[in-house]
Amino acid sequence: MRAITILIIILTVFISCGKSNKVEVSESVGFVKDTVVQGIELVYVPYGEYAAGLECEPKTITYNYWIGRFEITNRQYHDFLTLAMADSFLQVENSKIRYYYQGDSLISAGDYHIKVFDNRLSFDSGIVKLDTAFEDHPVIGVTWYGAKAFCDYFGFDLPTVAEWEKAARGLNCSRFPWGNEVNGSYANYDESGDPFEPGTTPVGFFNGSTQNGFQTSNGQSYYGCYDMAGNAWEWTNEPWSSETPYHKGKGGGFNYHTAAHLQVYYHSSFGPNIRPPLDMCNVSDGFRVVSK
Amino acid sequence: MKIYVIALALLAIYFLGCKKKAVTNGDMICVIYELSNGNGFRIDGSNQPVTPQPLCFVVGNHEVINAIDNAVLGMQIEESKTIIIPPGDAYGERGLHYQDHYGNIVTLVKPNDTLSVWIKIESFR
Repeated sequence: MRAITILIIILTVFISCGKSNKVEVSESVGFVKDTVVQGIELVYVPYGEYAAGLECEPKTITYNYWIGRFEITNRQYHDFLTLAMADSFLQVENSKIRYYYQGDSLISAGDYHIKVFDNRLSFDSGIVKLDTAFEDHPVIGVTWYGAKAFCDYFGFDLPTVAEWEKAARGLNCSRFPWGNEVNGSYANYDESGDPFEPGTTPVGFFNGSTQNGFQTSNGQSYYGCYDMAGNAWEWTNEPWSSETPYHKGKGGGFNYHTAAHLQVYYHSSFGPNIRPPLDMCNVSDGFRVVSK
Repeated sequence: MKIYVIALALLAIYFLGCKKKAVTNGDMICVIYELSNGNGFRIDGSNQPVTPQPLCFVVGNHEVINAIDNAVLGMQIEESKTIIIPPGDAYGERGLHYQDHYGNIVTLVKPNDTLSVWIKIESFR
């Protein structure tokens, strides 16, 4: 009887240890889940330290979160616009679409433009049209309000700078999400030489495979995200300062910016430098989402 | 005599040690910069609302435009200069444009515009 009791205790300890390990393994680096929302894949980022900013200062994020494995695509944004207009979540006026932002300490409440439409994603006579040749490319020309509208509609957030940098390099003090080396095989930046020059590349293009005869290197981030350097600039949820109503962009873009602008620590200078209207954007501005 | 020789040696070591390093290819440096178009309008740069954001790069590794890669060679820490960037080394025939929501093109750099950049070596890394 005593032997059986001891055996049960030992088994209990082993089983509980096994469960603990299983959780840790399944929710560690590279774990991916599909959301029910527009096929968006998210990767898991556990709470803990990361290397912040230019000096790689150790900082801590105290909660777990999920972040988009890829930048939001034209297809996903097209579907969002179609659904959100049907729900009257967005305001349609002539050939423009606006989103009512409730405002915050820096920005007044009001209707703001969400996107500069182009030949990939156009808007005419109340209908959003998608050029399917670009459906898996990142949506670009999106204002911060356009990114926020997408997140609010589906229950996501835009990443903070801290969430973005942790997802990009974790505790590695690397210059880029994949390491310290940079050339046109890792990312899409100005005149980087990919087959889609001078435009965007499909999301996840730089994965180490040969595509259209072009040998890519694996540009995956520490937690398994793609295109955290280059392709679209990515909006964050963080303003420049407590007095500046423009938001920081991360990751660099496919045009006008060089490899140096793709570094993890760097954030865009669009906004405060030239002070455009609040809902204006750079042609290369896109975003990825976060879920907490 | 002996003490003079030692003092001289120490002075030589001090001055040689203090001589500022000049930028060469392969160095990783951080710079503060301000980029202006041909009309002198500031279009990009490091002076952010709170603190300047340096731009760091490996010299000669094509991480910045060629004109900047070349201009920093031989510069020393804290040294600054303004350089002229010919169109071919910057945005060339494309220029630099934004588009507003009414389809208007907002031009920051005209096609074939000559730019100028003020650049200061902030640190070696």
